[in-house]
Amino acid sequence: MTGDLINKFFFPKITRQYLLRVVLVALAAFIIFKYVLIPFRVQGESMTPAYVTGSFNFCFALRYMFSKPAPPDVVTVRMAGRKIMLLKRVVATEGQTVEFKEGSLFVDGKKVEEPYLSGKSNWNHAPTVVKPGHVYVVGDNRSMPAESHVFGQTPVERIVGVPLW
Amino acid sequence: MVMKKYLTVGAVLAAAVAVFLFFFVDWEARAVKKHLRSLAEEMAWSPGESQLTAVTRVKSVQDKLAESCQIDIPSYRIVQTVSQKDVPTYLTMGRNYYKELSVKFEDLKVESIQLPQARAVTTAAVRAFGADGQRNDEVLVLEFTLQKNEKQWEITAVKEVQVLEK
Repeated sequence: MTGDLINKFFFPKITRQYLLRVVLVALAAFIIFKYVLIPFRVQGESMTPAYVTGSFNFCFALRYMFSKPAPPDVVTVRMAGRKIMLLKRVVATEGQTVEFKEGSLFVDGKKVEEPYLSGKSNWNHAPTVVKPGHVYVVGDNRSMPAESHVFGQTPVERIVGVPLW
Repeated sequence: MVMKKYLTVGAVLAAAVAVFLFFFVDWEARAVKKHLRSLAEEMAWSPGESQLTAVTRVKSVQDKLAESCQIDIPSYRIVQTVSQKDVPTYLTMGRNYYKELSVKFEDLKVESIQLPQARAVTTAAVRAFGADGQRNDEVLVLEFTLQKNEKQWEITAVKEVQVLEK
């Protein structure tokens, strides 16, 4: 009985129905992994300790269908396309003023508690007003010098989605 | 009779393929992509590379640029107009700075073609090792402007697109 099932599973009868099922499954997988859950691998240290280099994840691209990115969401930012994306955390939205003083983040002049950070930071960055239709994103790893860390404001349209976990 | 039937089916298929290629394939966009992919392939060097390969690569990069090319890549502190004849000098400087380098263009898209001009955008993934052996990778969005000159595409400008503005 079990042998029969195994045999049926590995060597199914190629019927028209079976082929249709295969095509539908392939199509569904293509749509899901191309437009809904985009698989990606983290490279780089900018989001440690939350996301370490080499870890695997999916970008949930429908997250902002009915809402907008807001702090402290972790988001993926597309570059020329979706093959290479930046993984960053939203710290401020349009109209807010972002500033770094002695490693601490200030939004609209108020110090922001960031429990997701680890390690000390000595970043200083002059106040910047986030432009309309933009969000301000930064990585969690602020122990590296600010000059070698990619951060700043980006248009909301560049946000692809959020990591699934 | 059967042979004739097969020949007719074959001819119809060939005609359909020819019509598809003629009407639905953008040959200019393909040529632009090929030109840029080839540039990325030639923008590479490694310590064990022979002198001949190095010279060939430099010549190839030189041929892909226009007589004068405006380069605006702040991430590498390059903001200047580069003359085609100066390309070997700049590449030699680059080779002295990075002992190993390779470039890969991902998500290469031709944004517009209005002959004789074309504009393409790509994510350039640069993998480099400095002269001191330290890894110095960079990922940046580049916008290329190309000009068609005597059936040959030439790069007239390269500009870095700021994804995150500090």
